[in-house]
Amino acid sequence: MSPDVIDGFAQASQLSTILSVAFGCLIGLIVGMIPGLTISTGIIIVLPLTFVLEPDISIALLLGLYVSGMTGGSFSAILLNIPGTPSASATAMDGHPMAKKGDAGRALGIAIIASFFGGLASFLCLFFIAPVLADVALRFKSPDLFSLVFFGLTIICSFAAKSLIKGLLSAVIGLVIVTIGQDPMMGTARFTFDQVNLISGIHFLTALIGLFAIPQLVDNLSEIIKGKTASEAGAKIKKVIPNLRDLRLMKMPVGIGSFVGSFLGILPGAGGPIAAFISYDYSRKLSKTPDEFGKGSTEGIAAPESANNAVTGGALIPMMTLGIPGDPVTAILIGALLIHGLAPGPLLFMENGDFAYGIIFSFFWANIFNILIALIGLRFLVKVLVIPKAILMPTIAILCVIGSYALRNNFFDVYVMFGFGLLGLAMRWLDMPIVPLLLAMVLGRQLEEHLRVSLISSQNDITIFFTSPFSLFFLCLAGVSIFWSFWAERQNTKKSQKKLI
Amino acid sequence: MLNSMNKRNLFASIILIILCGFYAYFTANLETRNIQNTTQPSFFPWIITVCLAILSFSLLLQSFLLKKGKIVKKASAPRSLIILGFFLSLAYLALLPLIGFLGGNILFFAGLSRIYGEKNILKICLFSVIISIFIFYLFRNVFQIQLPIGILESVLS
Repeated sequence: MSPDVIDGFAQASQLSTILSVAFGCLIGLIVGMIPGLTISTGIIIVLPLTFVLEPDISIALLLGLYVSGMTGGSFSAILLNIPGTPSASATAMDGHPMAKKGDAGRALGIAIIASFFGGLASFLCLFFIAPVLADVALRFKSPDLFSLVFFGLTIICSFAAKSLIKGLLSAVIGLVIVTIGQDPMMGTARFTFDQVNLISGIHFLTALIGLFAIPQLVDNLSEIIKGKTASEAGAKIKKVIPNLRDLRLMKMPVGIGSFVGSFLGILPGAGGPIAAFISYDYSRKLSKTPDEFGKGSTEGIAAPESANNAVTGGALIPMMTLGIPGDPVTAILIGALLIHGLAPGPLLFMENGDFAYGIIFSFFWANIFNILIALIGLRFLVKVLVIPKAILMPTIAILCVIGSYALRNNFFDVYVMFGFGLLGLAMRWLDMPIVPLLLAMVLGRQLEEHLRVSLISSQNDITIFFTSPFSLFFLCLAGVSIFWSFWAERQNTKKSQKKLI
Repeated sequence: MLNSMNKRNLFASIILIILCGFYAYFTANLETRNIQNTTQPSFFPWIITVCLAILSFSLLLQSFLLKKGKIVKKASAPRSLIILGFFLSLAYLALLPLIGFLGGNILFFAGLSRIYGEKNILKICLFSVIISIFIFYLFRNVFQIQLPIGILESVLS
């Protein structure tokens, strides 16, 4: 076994790292179950706390939050029929009917155990696939990396947007923002308007806080839960551990969910909700009792829950090996790594192998603590659902402001955060997705660097992007991705026009 | 007003075309370096300008070509509360360097708490003071992030 694997395991198994994972899991379960709070927002809130921690400890905390946030989302979906996270929407379809029959504890137990197995399967994928992929990625040269980043951007735009034009526009706006500050090749100031604060550019996390948190604070004005409270639902929680029949029934849907989730997690932009619904659909088709689906079926809870937790490990694969985020959360994780001076990508495994394996094993511990804390603390955790929004939302607002300030101890970043909040609201008003903008901000600098380095090395010959097999392959994929989304959009438009007629 | 997505797209495309014009103007005025066989700092911004222009005009065309735009449902959040929240945030941001994080956060928390529906003044005061002080001391003393306290500096020190 490689010494990096052993060192990584030792690093991830230190008491401080384990405690950090456990704390992250606790926060994740709470954040996940509160409707109106996404995992991204949870990580944004916690991120300033990690600035003072060691990189391995802070990443462990964020991974715990990521994994448990997915599971926590199912709690409110089952108890209140309000998914805590978008990924838990499919869980509500069978989880809530089972809870209404008086089996809330059983439904939650199935969700927790399915999440655990989904997470474990994706850990194995991460452990075995990531180093191999990183090894392949080490052979990539600048033109290949440019094409890869370009492909990552196009696939995210097409997945994340109902309209391809709006998805691409969002990404281009992100690229406009990235060009503010020093030019990465020559250090020339661009679009700084003689503002000292703009020379180092707009900090990715400042933008992120504004783009995600402020629209969510506005949304929550209209999403105050009325009538339904966890104390009512919590009173019905009796036995949490599922019975043997449930465990037998869970085998097939958990297998499907784990496979679909891990695979879709690797694809940038696909994400938890898609994986959960696909797994739900396949499990229903392959089930011996498809009629039970929608009425409180064990399989109907297990399939989406295992899928959305399997997505987490899958999404870490492109993030760690290629530096391409699979979803918004992994984009934030890239930001967190960069703050600590570590760049994710193939070199992470070569230069900081122990750290890379440390992340993988922290992910393993996150899944272990997720099931432990969820099963043991379930009855207490659901009480969080009764925290009034009038206390929760102002607390989040204050943490966002302090978080933006703490990045560089600068009021300017607070104003920038607020500006990005308004941009986020405007984009929401236009039905323009935020995720491509965010990912363009993460990848934009790399895109420019690889493009310019490639052109300099080829003496401005653009055929360099078509002569390298890897580059050509990624460019073809990017072309297919754009063409496919354009075609899909045309079909949807035709359908909706027909409906209107 | 602007409750059809087509109208919103039209509005957005015009704004984006104007933005594209400004971006192109500033790109054209970027400093150039006299180094052979290299790309200039304006190289990538020009590519972005072209992409932005193409996509903005595509959005403009789309808003004209689609026969009937989707009617957008109005947000259920009361507009008055959103506006109130906006002005409260503006006032908070403007006063923040003066009154600092401690005083500012207490007032901001109290205002937001009221906007989010809390009517009990005692609860508002209690929670805004306790939570703001807790967060302030957590960051300042535990995480060692020097949050300024503005005019309260002389009182507290």
